[in-house]
Amino acid sequence: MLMGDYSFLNLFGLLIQSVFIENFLLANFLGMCTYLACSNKLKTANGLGVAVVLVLTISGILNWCVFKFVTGAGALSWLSFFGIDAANINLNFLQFLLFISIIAGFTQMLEIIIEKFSPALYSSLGLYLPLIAVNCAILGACLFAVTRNYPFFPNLIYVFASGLGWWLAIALVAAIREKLAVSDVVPGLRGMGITFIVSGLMAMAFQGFTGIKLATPTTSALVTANQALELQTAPEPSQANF
Amino acid sequence: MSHPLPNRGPSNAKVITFIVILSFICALILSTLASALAKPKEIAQEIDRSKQMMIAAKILSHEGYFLIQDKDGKYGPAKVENGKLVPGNVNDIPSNEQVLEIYKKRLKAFLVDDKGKIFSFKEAGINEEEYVAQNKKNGYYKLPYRLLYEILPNETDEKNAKPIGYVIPVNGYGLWDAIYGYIAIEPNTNTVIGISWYDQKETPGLGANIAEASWQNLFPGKHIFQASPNGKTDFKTSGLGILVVKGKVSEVLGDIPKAKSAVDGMAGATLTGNGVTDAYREVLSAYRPFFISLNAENKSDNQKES
Amino acid sequence: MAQKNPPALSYLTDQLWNSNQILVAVLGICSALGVTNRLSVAVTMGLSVSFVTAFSSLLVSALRKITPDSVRMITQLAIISVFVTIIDQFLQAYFYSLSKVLSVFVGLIITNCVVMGRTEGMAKNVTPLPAFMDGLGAGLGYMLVICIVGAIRELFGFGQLFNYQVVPLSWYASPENPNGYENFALMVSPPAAFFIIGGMIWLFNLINKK
Repeated sequence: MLMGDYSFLNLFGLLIQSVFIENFLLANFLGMCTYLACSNKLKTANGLGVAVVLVLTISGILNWCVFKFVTGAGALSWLSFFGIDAANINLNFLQFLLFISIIAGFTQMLEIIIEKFSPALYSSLGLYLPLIAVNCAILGACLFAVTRNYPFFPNLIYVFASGLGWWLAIALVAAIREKLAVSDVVPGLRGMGITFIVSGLMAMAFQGFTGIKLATPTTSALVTANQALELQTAPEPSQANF
Repeated sequence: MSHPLPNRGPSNAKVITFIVILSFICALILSTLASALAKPKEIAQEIDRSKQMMIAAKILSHEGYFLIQDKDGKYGPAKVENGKLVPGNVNDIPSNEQVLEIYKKRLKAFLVDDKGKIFSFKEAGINEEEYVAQNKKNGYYKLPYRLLYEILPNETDEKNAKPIGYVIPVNGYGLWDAIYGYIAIEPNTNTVIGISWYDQKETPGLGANIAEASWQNLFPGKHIFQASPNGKTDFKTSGLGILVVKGKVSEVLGDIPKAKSAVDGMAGATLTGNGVTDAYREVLSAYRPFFISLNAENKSDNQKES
Repeated sequence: MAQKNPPALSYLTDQLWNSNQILVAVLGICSALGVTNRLSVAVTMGLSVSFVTAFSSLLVSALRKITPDSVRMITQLAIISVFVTIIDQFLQAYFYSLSKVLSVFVGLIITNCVVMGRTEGMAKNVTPLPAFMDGLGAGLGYMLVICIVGAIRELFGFGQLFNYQVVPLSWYASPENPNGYENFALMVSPPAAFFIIGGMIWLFNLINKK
């Protein structure tokens, strides 16, 4: 449950995969709204990125716990501790409600805590927190993580790295937009139009990363690919005799 | 308006009460809905898997109508009559009940062990529903008792009719996520009847083409045992699996006997193709003892008849 | 001065074009990119969003007088997630193959800015009927845009519309006809959606300039 079949190399691979290959913003297109609204300046983008990493990591962990112990299939079996046989109850329909409540609740709590403990941090970061609660990327990362049924540590790495990837993407585009603001763009495309086209180009660039598979906890992809090649060219490999 | 009172907002107690009542009502609505829709959801999933298995076994076409083989072995549209399939036309799209009816009649689940012996679920002492549900995600081929389906013939109602084929659940890893499908093979355990992929999250338009009829139609007639260059196949030692080549089989392998175990790849989806190749190789290897023992049986049957 | 309240229908028509959620307010982009490579998927998504937006706005507006201000956002989120769960369960029960394609994107309607934008921006300030019309219009305007994007992508990326082959198979390149038509593979990948929406915003701005 904690590590499953994943080795440390797989965790590292998962990190790389979530930041570059399956970048939440540029490959899965989640978290666009806030990104489009707030990416004019690099400073705002950075503030937003940090906030997203923080919220995503912690909500990711909390939601994993909800999935494992409340809404997943057979999740309520821990109630047998108290003598209640609940292994067959399926609370899957409460998943959306619980996930979004946790995200919104956590964001609200974080805002209050930051306001109390660090007014300086609050003035730079606090404004984004309500926006982040409804950021598709947060809910999306939590939902993706549960459909893939990661054990605890891979889930942690996955949500943390997804946040990092999102931050990377928004920082990159903010930098480009700052430049675009002083460039000579066709009037009809100024503002949103050119942002979309630039994002499309960046998405194409990130597509170049597809195919690098470091994260699956099964036999190495390299070994099996080689075997496939062997089938094609060499004399037939001898299978074990029965 | 009279003089405005300082607005302190509702008290904390009121807020909490509001939230509690709201949550309660939401949960109530959702649980009622979930229990009302639980049966239709189950049926929808069952029908989807049944359809995909029948598509692999060439009992159902990709377009939705049943298939029946004429005496030359060609497939034509069919419809349901008295619980059996009779020739029909392409507009005879069956209802969900008919799909399930034919599925229950023509496909029976069994288990094989690693020695190739076949068991019914009762003989092995395993609960079929639990077994299927528990192992759906990771596949069945690594278990001590592996899942297999016998395809029963259309014409007969006999309890112990000889199967006209077998369906094996296949699973593996594509580019993005796990892939799940079926492969149906003839009783000679070598020729493919058909395949299907019922769960994949590959790139739409590229890897996701494994779910398209056009690509799946490349498989019927292929051999799962790879013939050696002199054309001979030894069930004990020949390579097992279907190879998805990069490009066209005619260009990459030409005319050699092994080409009968290869299919054209999909442009831009080499990695998904590799995943498919790996899946077939890994899964089918687990059933090799079964193929060997079945062929030994077939040979002795033929000798008895001659 | 007492102003006559605009007729309820105008809320709907305003949202369809003039204040179109995607082209003008630039909201609801996330799902617009992920679900538009086939027209059937885009239509399903559009209808789901319309349903959720319309009824969430209705309910939020109906409850606006008794919702405490401090829990306003959470209430809206809760109401929206209830309707999204309804749609999700319904799709799984009766349109199973479509629900497999849409998978997580149905859940993401909760965070779809179109829905939140309408409940926060309009529904809590107006009476239920205009709120419903506004929500419905926003959803339909969204559906209009993603269907256009979906149609373009499916037509040029697959040569099909609604899985029905529109580009004749005889036009395609083959060994005998190596210079024949090939599907525009870029259309199938997500960046194409970016380009198409960028183009649509450009067109929209051009049309509205007049």
